[in-house]
Amino acid sequence: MNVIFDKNAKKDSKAEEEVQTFLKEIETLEKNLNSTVIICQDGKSLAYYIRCSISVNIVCPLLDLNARLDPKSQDSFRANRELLLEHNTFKRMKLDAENGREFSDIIIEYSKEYTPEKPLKVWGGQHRSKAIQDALGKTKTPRYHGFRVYFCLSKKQRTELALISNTNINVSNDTFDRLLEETYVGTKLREWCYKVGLLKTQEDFPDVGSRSEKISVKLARTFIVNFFQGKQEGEKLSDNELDKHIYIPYLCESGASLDQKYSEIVDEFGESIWNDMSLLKAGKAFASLHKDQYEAVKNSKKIENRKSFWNKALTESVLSGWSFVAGLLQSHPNRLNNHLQIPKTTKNIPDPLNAKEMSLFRHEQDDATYRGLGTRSALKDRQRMAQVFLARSLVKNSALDRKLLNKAVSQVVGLKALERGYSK
Amino acid sequence: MTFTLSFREFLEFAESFYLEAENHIENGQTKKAIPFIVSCILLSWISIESFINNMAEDFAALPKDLFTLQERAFLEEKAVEFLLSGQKAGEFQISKRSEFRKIDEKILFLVAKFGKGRRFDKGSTFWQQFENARKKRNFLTHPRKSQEIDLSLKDAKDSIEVAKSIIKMVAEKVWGKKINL
Repeated sequence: MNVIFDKNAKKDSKAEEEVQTFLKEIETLEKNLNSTVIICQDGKSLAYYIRCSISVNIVCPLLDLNARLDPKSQDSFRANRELLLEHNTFKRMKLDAENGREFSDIIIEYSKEYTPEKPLKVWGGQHRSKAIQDALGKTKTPRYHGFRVYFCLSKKQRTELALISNTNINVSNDTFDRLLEETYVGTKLREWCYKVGLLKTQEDFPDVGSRSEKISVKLARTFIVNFFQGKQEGEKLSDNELDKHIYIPYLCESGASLDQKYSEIVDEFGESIWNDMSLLKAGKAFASLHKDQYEAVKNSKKIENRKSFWNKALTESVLSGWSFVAGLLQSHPNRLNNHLQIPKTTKNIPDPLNAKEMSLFRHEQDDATYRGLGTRSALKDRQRMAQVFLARSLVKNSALDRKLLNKAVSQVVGLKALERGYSK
Repeated sequence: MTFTLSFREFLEFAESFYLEAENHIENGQTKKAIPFIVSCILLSWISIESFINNMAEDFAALPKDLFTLQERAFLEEKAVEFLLSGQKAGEFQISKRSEFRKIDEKILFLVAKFGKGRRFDKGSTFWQQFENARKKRNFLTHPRKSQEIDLSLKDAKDSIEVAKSIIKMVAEKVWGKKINL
């Protein structure tokens, strides 16, 4: 069979060899017609691919919907987002496939490095692929579907492929985060979450954080970044100065590129991050807080049983504020111990984070539409939450009661006004 | 039943009483409008008090050494006392005795201290409107049979406007922030 390189593709013997193997093993329309197959090379990622058509009967058993970013690692999980089998768009695709629709430009990678009986790893078009598989045997005439088949991909090329293949559909930033995390950092963040108890062993980060009750990649990164940023800031301050500053807990960016601050911290500290005992201790304390909050709300009759209350610890402002203060107080051990203790619950405060009281909170500065403390991710709310935890760390075994919330937010507002300048 | 009310809620109450008063006057029932006008004026003033007191509390919540003894005493509305005995004899300290300040004094202090050196022009129309509203309010809270008071729907409306203006102005000077009212 005639295989040639496109004029824009640099000749590569390994890629050519792989293409030949693919064509030898898998029956394509081009092979049946003895057409010339052209090896193309993507100008940006430099990945090699061919375009071809494969009959539904041939392709269905060979498609692997559980494509992995790292074929060699057993720790690498399925990278794509969850299939939305109940989504109307998918149902329509399935019906179309049953009625003989021919799909095109499904993005696959030819690889036998894992699950060799299914060498066609789907990176773009997993819903179309699933629709084709489900419709197998239901169509009158077997149809050909169009594929772009990639060869000899590196992990970076594979990630990029996954990202660009998903930009046209509604893929969450959490899925992008998960892909990029594994490509650039590996599985360390996930393993750290196992160690501290923020994820159960063998559990992955959610592909859509807002629908999940688990910690997302974004939140886990936010925890790490704030801990180290707080730690650096705390080292510069004496005990007496701690409460005279407004702090800026950071919120990691989510999406198609790795958050810059997280990336800098991972580069600066390297492997030592994941075994840092003070970070592990803070992570464990936070996981306990989340667990206690969750159980307190689930089991209490005094507080409304809703997600925003039981998952309060995992809201962006609460998590970033808490982790920043955990870092800040590393060089102030007495207050650190108070901070790491779970806030006291009382007869009137059934949950450690006092979620109901927080939801009712409103300062004079807040508009009538303000939804309370620890509900939004805006800087103002992250600063307020950091001050709440900092104020709590002053007294051993204290509760997050209304008085403390008032005092903490007053401090933020007062310090901000002072920051603008005042007359002596 | 325990709860707290914000200046916004007091303003809302004032506005709803104003509407009631307006209704009665439109229906020719001037006498029935009076309690609503009185309530509107008092609630507007309470909203200013609430806003200013809470703003002062924000500063009072800060670490003690950020302010002088006099400033802290002012913010906490406590007296300063001179100690005649004990280990701190000969020093001044904040007493437990309350020393309440007038609302206009608090406004002057907050703006002068935190308003980037800006001062109030007490001769301005704005301040005159504030003074007029204060006089009406004082007549109502300290009534005397020897003094007659002249009340109209306009007074109620003015009291709401003055409250809103003063709150917006102090917020902008002290916080550098516009608030929606």
